[in-house]
Amino acid sequence: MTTNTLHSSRFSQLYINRLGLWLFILSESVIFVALLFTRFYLLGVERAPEINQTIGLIITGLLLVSSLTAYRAEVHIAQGNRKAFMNNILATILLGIVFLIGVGIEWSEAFDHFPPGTLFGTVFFTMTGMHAFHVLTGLLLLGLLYLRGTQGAYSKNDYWGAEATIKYWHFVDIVWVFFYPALYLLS
Amino acid sequence: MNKPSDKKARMRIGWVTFIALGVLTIVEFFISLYIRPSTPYLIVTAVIKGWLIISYFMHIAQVWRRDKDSK
Amino acid sequence: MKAIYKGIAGALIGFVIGAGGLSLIRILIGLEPWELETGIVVGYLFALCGWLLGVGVWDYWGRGWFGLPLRKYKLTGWRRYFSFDTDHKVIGIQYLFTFLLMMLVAGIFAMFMRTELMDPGRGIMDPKTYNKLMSLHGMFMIAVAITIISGPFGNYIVPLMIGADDMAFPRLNALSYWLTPAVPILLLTSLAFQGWNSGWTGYAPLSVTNETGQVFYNLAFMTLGLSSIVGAVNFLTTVITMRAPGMTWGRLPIFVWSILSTAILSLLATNFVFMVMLMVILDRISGMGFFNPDIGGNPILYQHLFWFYSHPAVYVMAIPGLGITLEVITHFSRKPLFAYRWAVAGFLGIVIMSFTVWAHHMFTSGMPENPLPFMVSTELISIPTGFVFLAALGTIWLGKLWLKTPMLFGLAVIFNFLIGGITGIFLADIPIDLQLQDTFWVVAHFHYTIVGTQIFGLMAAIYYWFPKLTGRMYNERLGKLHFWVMFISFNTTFSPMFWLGINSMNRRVAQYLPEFSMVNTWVTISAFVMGSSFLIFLYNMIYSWIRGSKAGANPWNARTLEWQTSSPPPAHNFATPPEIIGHPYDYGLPGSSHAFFPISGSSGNKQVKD
Repeated sequence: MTTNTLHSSRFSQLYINRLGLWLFILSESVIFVALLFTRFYLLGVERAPEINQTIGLIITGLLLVSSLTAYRAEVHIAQGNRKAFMNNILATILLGIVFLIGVGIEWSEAFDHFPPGTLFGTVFFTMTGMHAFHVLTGLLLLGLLYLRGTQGAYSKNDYWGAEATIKYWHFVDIVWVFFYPALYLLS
Repeated sequence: MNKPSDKKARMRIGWVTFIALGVLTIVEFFISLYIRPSTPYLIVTAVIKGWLIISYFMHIAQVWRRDKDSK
Repeated sequence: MKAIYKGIAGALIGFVIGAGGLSLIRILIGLEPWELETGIVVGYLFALCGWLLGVGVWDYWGRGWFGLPLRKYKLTGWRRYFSFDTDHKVIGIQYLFTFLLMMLVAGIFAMFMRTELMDPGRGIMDPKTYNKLMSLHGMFMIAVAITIISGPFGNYIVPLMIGADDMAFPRLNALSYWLTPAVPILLLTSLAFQGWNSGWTGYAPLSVTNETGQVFYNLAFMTLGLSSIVGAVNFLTTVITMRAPGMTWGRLPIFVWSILSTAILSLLATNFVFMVMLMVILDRISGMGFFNPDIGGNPILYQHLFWFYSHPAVYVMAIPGLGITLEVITHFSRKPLFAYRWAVAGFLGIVIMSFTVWAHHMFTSGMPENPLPFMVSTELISIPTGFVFLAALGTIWLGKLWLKTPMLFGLAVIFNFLIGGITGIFLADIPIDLQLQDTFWVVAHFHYTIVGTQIFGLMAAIYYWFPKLTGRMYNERLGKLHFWVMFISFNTTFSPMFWLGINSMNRRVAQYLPEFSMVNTWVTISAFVMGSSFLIFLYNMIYSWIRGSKAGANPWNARTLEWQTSSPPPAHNFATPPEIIGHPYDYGLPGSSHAFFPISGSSGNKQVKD
């Protein structure tokens, strides 16, 4: 990511970049910890019975599959297999878009049952909204990754940009791993 | 690290992790909705799933391993 | 300057795109086309992105995302300081100037507040204006206190101290600086929208029902948070990975440890305040009800989340001040830092424990939780703080004190922090806190800890590193004059406030009982003296920067690495990368040395000794 050459470090630039990314992810996870705390503080373990379980399970599955395709993309680019890498990135992007559409459908139903003016609605829309915002930024990054890929960037020795984006995408999935039971399954 | 046999092993790790995550998700779904919702169980499952993703999809071990690997 | 013009243009374009796009969407889904606060929030989000892209992110960074070649500008002289420069030394100076300016502006606000408080009734302004001014002073100073040591000196000195040629992520570093100008601009813009009167804490539910100016406070706090998170990631990565060969954790200068502890706190705590500020905005603009009891929301949630950040944040303010104090005291006592390991343990202990004490701000809030554990943990946190304190005392003990201006400020920090710490224990006790909450006791305690450690520490840092930053020496006589005027007037300003607090003069209220008017007049006069002491400081700095005598590379004869290179340091800090072979503070130990430069340009193997 960084083009500056640093001669004074005992660590490779790749290691430095990775460490920075992990620290950023750690910091970012605090946002979601705060939201989970809010959810339990305001609602205990209550949830709205009207929540649409089918859509919830489907979008969870979509995000899970997209994590697998992202992982496959990383393995392929590490082997220098650019075509399979690009295909898997494309699949990840499509799954991410379908996930967002699923959230949109879920939101339009939720508006009828528990709008933002109710307590569960407040928590539900903020949590899913914050997560969807991260999915959206992840999609933008994946889109840039794909664009750069078509221009011939990334090879098996130089794929930090891809690795960082894919790690971020996995992080978005971890958030949903915690949000899904907190919003849909608790009671 | 970039040998072809390695690739197969890494792909297998990906699939196994994915299937484990999927099974855990479906189990927590059915237990919560059809048997008996249990907060501690959900927390434990979520932590296990998060750990699976962090260690197998995101390779957190790279942070502790201080190799000067080539870029 | 071109970068700034481009940034401003970017911000304007961004605002138009954001607010315009929002109006378009609102029309499409059948709402009123313009709603003020939503427009401000969305417009600001885009304006901030536009500002950053315009100021340099696009040229230095963003073009790479699209596979375009980067544009680098080769600027020289003062123009570098107005551009997206990635040199950590330039960024340090940028931080220093920006936040000193903010501090002076906020100080002027304080002078107006004190003028109003000369009179027990109505003085120069009406009570509402007073509350808005108080809020503005508070938030400005909080932004200053969070940033003013770790921003300027963390950036300038830490890479030098660990023997690195720059920070780990130079562009992120520039990004974290160029986020900060938005903070004062937002806070001042709030005045055009009636300001806000909920103080720097911005408690809900007042902040939800307040005038529009409140939104600017929330956005400013979020922006400041972003900047400090980006900075924290950078500091942690730098200190972990960029240390010179031989710079083990046990040989790290104590100031680096303090910045590291600060960075851990910022990294882990800041997003709580980011989220709670966002919740207030959501409550205001989208009808959500986190803090609305009518639908089951809970205003106490705000305080939990807010203080879960803001209590660690006061250690973000205090720890770098203490780090500088230990650093300066060691160099000017000419003996090894006493109990180095315990001082480090003290910093890390404060980091860990500061996450367990937040609810001591909420003893009077009526929270349902048991407050007792927070009282205990708050009193326990004085143990790691005591480690740091005793390390300072042990270093002075039997030292050959060299009473230069930085040392005087360092000693003053110890004195002030003692008073601030002891008066804090009163506040930690629930029965006493119930009496003293929201009185001037709190004001006095807070200013003793934050001004007394952070700002006095800042002054120690500025005087200590002034020769390194500028290559010139400040005027010692004026420096000492500044110290004595500031130290005495600081104490005469804030110590009477303890008495006022015990006698239950409320804070954040423009009017008070007439029997306090004598003491308040005294406090106001002292405050003006303290304010004017900064004029001496400014004169000294500006004059010495232009006319001061040449300082040379190492005027203090100190051993840490930043003094082993020219003043100011060259582009990549060291002509040859240093190697560390000993502890940085082994003054007076025969045969000890901190570092050497393997093939130093002229003088062969140069060892750093006394």
